[in-house]
Amino acid sequence: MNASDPQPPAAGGANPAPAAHRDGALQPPVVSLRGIRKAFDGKTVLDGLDLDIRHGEFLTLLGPSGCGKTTVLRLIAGFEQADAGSIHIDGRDVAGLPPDARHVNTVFQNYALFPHLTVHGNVAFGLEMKKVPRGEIDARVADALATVQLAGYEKRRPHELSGGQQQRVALARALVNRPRVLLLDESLSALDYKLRKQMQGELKALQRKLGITFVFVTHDQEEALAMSDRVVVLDAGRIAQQGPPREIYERPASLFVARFVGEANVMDGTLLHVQAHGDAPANCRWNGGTQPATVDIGGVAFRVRAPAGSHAGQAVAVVVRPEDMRVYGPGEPLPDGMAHFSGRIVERTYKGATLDSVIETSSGLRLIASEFFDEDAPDFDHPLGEPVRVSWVADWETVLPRDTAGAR
Amino acid sequence: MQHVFRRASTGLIALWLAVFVLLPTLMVVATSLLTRHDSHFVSLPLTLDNYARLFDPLYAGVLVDSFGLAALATVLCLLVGYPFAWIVARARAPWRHLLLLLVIVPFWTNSLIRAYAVKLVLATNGALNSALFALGYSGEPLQLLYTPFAVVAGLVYVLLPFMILPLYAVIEKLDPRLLEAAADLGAGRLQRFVRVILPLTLPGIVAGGVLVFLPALGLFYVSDVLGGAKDLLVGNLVKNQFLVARDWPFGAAASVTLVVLMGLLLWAWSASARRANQRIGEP
Repeated sequence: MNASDPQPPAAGGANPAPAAHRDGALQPPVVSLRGIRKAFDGKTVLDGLDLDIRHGEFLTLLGPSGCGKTTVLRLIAGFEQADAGSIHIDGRDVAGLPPDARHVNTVFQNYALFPHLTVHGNVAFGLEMKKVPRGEIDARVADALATVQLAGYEKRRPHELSGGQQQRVALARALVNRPRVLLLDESLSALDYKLRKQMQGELKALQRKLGITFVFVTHDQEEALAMSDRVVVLDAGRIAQQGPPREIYERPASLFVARFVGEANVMDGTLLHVQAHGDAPANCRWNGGTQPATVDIGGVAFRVRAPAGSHAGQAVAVVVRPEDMRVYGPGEPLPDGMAHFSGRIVERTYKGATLDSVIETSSGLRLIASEFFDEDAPDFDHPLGEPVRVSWVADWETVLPRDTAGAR
Repeated sequence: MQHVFRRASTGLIALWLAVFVLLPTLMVVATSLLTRHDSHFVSLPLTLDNYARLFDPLYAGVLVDSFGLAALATVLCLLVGYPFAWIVARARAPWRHLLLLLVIVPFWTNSLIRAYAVKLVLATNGALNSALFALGYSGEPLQLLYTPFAVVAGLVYVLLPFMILPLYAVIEKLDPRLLEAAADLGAGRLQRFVRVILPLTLPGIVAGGVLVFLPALGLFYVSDVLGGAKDLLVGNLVKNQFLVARDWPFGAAASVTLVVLMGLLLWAWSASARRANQRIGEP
């Protein structure tokens, strides 16, 4: 419903919109999908998808496998035809237009480099198809290879290159055609962790430098948050939420998004009291604003911000990120009047930068708290079994109506 | 124990090859260098005359015609086999297995019998002419049997599976994403075929070509049954010299020449396959 409606460009949010967004708001979208439906063998993959891709933005389609994200990419590229709905690229309806007639290029998941051609032959392929003069081809290929830092590799064959190098050739092969939109299908997932991190940074820098619209498909939420101007979270063929990475992470619109993007403590509660809507502060930026409210979670009353339209007695889910949880040992004073659970530490996991604790509250909840090491807090390290009090930083929770929280 | 077994088995294989491959081959080579004898088949003195006679226009003509017919049969097999192998390789699972089975089923029948089956179809009062008359054709019945056409038809029919199977193997391995990548980069149907499919399936084309061309030179019974009593293939020449003309030394010389030519072709094929492999490399 509200999440799948095309949303106005995020303006005046907490983080300043990048330049691409401001331009994009003025220009018509580069790619526009309307009411896209697609089924394979009777199984619905996309169910009435609407999506506008703005010029120059780095858009990421994020979702679990089978959510339809790759299908969106293949529809834009022209490898699949939609069962219903329309796709416009640069304002032109591309229905029935084959891939070779569309001005978009794809970086495939496993690169799909031509094994019988050299690096030069691979990168030159698209230009040769367009009958670009030889001299210009050589210049542009050299330029593209320099862009991906592979100058001097022209005569190598794909099988002589490492995974990261093949990835760069695939990128150069697509970019050399100066596409309107570059489609990247899980392009980094075959690389090892370190190389993936490095390529994430390089991709983002490249996209800024070239100003080409990137549409990136991934199931890796960390990758999506790190690179994108805008993240579109897909769930079962529908858009669950879209927005800047920070908004997706901090203000998940549904339990699905909260759980899929990062870790989350999800606590069931009942609203006890909701302040009238007019009293809400002006800095509302999500779902038409929030209202101060009190929620009962396992017998403890917390002050929270409930979504507009909430009412007393309503069942809700309160979502708090592990790093926003606060754990207080026996000797540590709690800030005045802070509502909290009592419980004890049942699990501890050392993660290098953080220490993750699982706390079981007296009401039976299991909560995860992620704490950063702090040289100034000597009793930071809570031993197993220690009685603790748990709460979270005020206002950093997300309250979701329980009825929409049903899906996963 | 295992050591002994391995020695025994390699020894047995070596003995087998020596007795049934090396010795007969040497005997054929030796025969080709001897002189014809009416009662003993062969006799001294040693001579190269048998090889010289192969350059006689009559026999050289057989060699040239035979290569021509075999080449024609190979090209036809490729033209028919390539699309068929493509369809089989791209068919869905149950259909793919059924189609492959249909390719292999003819192997269960002796190919001599299948040559007679082709004869029944092509004969003057055979199935093809009957069908033509049934469709209203009223001229002279077509004389198809005992022509080079019939021989080529027979060769294509008998040898087609040897073209389809290696082609199927390479096409099945062809990554469809490479074709999507080519289309993505602006290649139309023809460009995709010429620039991606053809180079990547070339090893299968060459393998199929060798597997059809070499046997086609020697399948004397196809030519005997469908081509009439003419020496159309080198294989017929060899057979007739041994069984009809009783000129063993000359038949042996023709046979050795054929083996050498085939060997050269196989060498050329493996050299080109090695080059192609180097080019494509292991993924």
